Amino acid sequence: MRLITHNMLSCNIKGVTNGFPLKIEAEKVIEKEVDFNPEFLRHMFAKIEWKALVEAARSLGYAELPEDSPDATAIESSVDDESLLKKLHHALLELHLEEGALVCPETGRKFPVNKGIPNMLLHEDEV
Amino acid sequence: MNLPVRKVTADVNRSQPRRVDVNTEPPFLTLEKLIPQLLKRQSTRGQEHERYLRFRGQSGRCSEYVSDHNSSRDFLVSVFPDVNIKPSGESSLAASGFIAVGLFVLPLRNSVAQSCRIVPALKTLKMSTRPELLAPPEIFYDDSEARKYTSSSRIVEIQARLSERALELLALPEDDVPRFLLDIGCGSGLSGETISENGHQWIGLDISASMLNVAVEREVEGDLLLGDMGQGLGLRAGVIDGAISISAVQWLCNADKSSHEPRLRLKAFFGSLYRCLSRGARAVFQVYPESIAQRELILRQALQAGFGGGLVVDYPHSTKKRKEFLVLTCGSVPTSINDGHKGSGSEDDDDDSEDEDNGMVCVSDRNRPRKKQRTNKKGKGREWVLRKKEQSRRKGNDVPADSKYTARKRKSRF
Repeated sequence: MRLITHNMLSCNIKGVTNGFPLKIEAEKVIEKEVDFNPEFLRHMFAKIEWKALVEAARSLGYAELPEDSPDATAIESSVDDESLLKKLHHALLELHLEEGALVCPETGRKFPVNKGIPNMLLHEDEV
Repeated sequence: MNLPVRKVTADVNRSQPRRVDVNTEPPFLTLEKLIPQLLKRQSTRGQEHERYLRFRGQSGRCSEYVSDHNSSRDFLVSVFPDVNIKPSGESSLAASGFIAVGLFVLPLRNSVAQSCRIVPALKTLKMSTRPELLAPPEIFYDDSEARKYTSSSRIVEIQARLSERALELLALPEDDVPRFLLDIGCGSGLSGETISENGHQWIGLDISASMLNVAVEREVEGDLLLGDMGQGLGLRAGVIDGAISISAVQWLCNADKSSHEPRLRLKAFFGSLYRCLSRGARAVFQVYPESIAQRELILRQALQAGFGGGLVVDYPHSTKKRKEFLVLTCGSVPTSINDGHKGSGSEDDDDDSEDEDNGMVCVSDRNRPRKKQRTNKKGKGREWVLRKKEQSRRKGNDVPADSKYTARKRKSRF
């Protein structure tokens, strides 16, 4: 699972009001190289929760993203700021959580991740 | 499976199981006898499952999970719709007047191998051409079924064509910016591959672990989630640029567990999908509804969730080639009609706008007289009650049947 997906996922248990962001307990992380596409990153930037992304990247052992969210205009227009986009690209699309678990911040429920697939199935009493 | 198989019909919609006349000896099966017998046959280790099972006694369902509390195990019981199961204790199937078409029990938790053995058995029985009626999706799409989706070139081709068409109907803006799409019921990732070929990123959701494993083997580019769409999608609001789903949504119309209620599951699905789509995004579902009622149920739930849109039917004249696509839009999309109106700039338009500017609109009728209450001394009356019940029924609610007692006046001494 890439971090772009993690950034969209929230806990779906009934009654949970703030199921985002899911904490990551990483056991195995792999990297896969993907083509760099600045257009897509610019398109996705507005939708990304920066804080959650920084935290998630850190839990996968990648700490090079800046703490504060960069300016939207900087991302939009920058030509020289390619390095920031590259970092974002690496964090969003190239880091994969292969084995581990996602933990709901409110209930502490664990969603196991096997072979890169998080198991988000809920039990009957959680629906 | 050498069970007495008498009658092969599967029609879940029928509320009353059909009575079948048998000339020969009636298959007198009690659950107490049948289940241990079946379990023994299924179990590799033999005798350990002879437990008393409690049934929840719902007829018309295809399969159910049953928990055996003593051994704390889950069982999947596939009951074909002609079987009427009474809560155990009085559970003679023949005595209830219905024929047991088939009943399968398999312990679920610790034995994938067993489910592998029994689901093909269900399939060879050819109970129905519709997979939804055989088993829940997570059971039906087992390893062997999943393999078909890579080995059979026919399936691959059909899936690819369907997803191509779905993407076309999604009508993403053509500006070469990759979009972030959702593939619901992605299975082995065949539809996802089409998305990748068109240069977009995607997340796939499926309930069958076997299908997802195949997807992993094929190294699809999107991310995969194991989840049940009927439980709602756990995604943040407004992040997805579009959703497609190939032959998946009709699975929601079946109740596979006693806690399932198709209407509520569809509602949860469409509601959560509506939230996670961005404004103006579209969702395209290729569906195989079993009946008109199912199609209406799906469509109604989608519209209730706030979607606009409708059905696109390809090859409407052919029963085999006929494909239905549910095209839903989320939020208002600027239509070209407005633009044309502005461009025309005719005199009438100008007149209208002038009137509005001057505030010349007559407002005397603004406060409408209140509706007169139509109740008379006798109350609303039977007709009114029947109309309301009919309305509620159309919404799909559980409404008691009409009888001579409906809306009957109470005695005065009450």
